[in-house]
Amino acid sequence: MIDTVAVELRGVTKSFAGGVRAVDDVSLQVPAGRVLALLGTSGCGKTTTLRLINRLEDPTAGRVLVRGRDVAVQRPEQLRRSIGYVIQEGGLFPHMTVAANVATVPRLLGWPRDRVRSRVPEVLNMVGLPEHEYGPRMPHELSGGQRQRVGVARALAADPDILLMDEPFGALDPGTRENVQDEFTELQQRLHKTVVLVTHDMAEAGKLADEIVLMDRGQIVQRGRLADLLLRPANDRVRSFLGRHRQSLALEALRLDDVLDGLATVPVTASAVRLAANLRLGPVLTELSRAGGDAVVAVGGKDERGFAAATLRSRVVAVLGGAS
Amino acid sequence: MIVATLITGLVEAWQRNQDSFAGQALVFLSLSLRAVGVALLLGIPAGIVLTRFSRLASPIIATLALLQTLPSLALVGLLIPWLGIGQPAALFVAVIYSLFPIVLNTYVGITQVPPAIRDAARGMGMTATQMLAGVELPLALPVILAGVRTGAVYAIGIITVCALVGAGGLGDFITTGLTRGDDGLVLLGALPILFLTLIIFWGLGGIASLSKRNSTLGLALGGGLIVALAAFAAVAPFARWHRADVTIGSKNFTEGYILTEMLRQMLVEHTDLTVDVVPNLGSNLAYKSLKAGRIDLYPEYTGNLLTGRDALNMAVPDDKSTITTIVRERMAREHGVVLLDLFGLNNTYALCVPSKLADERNLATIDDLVRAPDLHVVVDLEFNDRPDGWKGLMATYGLRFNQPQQQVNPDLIYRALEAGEADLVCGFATDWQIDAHDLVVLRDSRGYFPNYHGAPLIRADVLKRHPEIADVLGRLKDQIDDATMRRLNGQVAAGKRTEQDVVREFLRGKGLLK
Repeated sequence: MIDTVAVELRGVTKSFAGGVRAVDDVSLQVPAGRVLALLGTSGCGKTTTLRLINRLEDPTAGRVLVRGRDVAVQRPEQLRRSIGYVIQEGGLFPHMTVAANVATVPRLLGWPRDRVRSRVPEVLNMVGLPEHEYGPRMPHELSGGQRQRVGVARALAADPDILLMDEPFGALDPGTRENVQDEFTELQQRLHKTVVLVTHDMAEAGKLADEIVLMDRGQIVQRGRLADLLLRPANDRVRSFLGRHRQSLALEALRLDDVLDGLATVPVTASAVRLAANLRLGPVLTELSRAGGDAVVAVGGKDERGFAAATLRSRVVAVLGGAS
Repeated sequence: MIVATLITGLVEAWQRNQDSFAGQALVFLSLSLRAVGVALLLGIPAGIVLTRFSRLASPIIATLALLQTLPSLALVGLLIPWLGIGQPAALFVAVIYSLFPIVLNTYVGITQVPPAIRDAARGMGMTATQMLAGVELPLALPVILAGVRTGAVYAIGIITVCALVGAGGLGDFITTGLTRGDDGLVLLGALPILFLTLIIFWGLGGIASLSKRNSTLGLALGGGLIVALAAFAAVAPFARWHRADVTIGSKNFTEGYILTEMLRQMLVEHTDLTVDVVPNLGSNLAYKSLKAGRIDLYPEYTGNLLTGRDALNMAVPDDKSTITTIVRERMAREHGVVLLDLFGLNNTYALCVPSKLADERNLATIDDLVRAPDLHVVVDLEFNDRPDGWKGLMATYGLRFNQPQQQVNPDLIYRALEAGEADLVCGFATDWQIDAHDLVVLRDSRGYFPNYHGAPLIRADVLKRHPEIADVLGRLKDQIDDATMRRLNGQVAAGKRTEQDVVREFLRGKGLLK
């Protein structure tokens, strides 16, 4: 399945009344089993782009393909039932129990009762909420994080291969958000869903997504990994989006081997300080200070390479300072 | 003291009306619930439709709100040519009024469902119908129930008032009680209505707050209630509106009841016709109902027909003795209704003062009032507005009073006098209180007031079908003069006897009944 395209947008434009172009000639592909983040400030068109995929919006121009078929020829309800959908705070139905919320899509699909009844505890367990304890509760009896987990469970209930998530963790407090993000990453490592994630949070995009699409004014301004955005911003729009968070993001998101391109190598000596290639830049700086000015640093990986500590140090500082 | 009197009155009223109470309560309950049910059947779908065509919403809601501001009785009056009187009219008007809060709250309840939840429902793959039934309506339920509650309270109020157009029910006790000054009877009608209103108010409020907490029980109760009410309205057939051979209308005051009962007993005794009575018609409604064919005859007064806008709309002729002839001829020719033989009474307006005051101030004729501008005047509501009413009286006699006249319900006129809040009242010649309170009727020396001779008024087509009616009712000719009428009125209103009883006794005394 790898490298099959699960979701594809071809030259899609969406204009709203008054001629506002929310999405302006966007083309993108999401390979099956991968997580794509649509990143941008509010009003950049990322949510509209997401909603075009399950036909909550229909494009003004261009085509949207899901599993290789144009969505325009599919019944919207059937299409949506085949795609998991998670929104902020989970968007749970407040008048239904957790179990009933989770059972929504299987019921709409007409699953037999027994199958629904056995599936609900299964997905609730996946998100760490035992059915016997949480199933009968009402959404308002849960914490924000729990509601969000139920939202994910509901989206997964009918076992869709594609998941759309619109700012799924946006309403959570920072601590809870990180936990839920970690759980989601774990879950995704097991389930390998195709995920399109809308977020305005660069750290979240970097943490959850295999690839990031940065949008501005309805257009894609850059796509790639977070490291690509940090190290090689395509233009000023990207730079201004990264803004003052750039340094802390770089410390968090960049790894040692992200910054080695074009750097002069030296022979590795026995006394060389050894660092892992995937070490974050923060610890790298600490290690370099300890190693001293003229030491040689050996960077692990496929093949070990040696660098002069001073050269490496000035490269890292330059990257963090933004002069790239 | 007052409470004790009221309780005694209530108990007495209960004892006199035990037999009819259950029936009236049932009619009332059934009418009210049916009105709410029909309003639900129409209002909830209408509210839903408005959410789908939001451009229609504000004009339609504004129209309904406008209807709301019409006084209910005015609406009933306007609708008589189409709906007639009685239960269908009451039901219709009650539905119109309770529709507004139900439509509005359904609309508001659905539109206030958070967009995120609507989005989630669509995103899950619900169709519009599934979303409506599974998400929007359940979430709107507390708001809808609040609308049902308001609508139900409106409906109860309207059904109560519609006793005045012959709808029956507990409102009959209230209107009759008010007419007779029988507070116990008023309470007998009002208390159960109050209880019903409170039960509905608290009950629906409780269910609404239950369902607001999204409890399944609240949803089930509230939804179940709405479905049950709507089903009741859809299934319950109109209480059988069986049509007797002749239907007699009755105006909504004691003399109206008595004269109608007089006609009824005469017809039942001396003909083979089946007879129905529609009680409690406001004076104008009786005439409209007769012309609309909802009733066949009723006791009317010549002066009303002479000056009434819907009738002859004439000025009072100089020679008042011609009034009866004019009315009889022209009503038959122009309106197809026949004035039968006169009862003998002339229930014209009577300006009355207490005899003590009359002595002190030397008041004998209306002319004498020029000397007494300081008197407090109380007149009934209708008098102010009549062509032969207040303004003409002032002009004819050149009168002026220091304080503006007060207008009250006809039966409160003498209470005002008793309470010392009036010195001069405009009552009627056959009011029993004239005797009871020792009042002097000031002579109409300039002949301002027309004659108000009482007589049965019947539609010509009915008379043609049943010509024997004229003969039978003709036996009442000149049998009831003003003094007799005052006595009979007093027996019912002050003596608290039923009009059936009083009329039977009177007719037997005259040898008109076995």
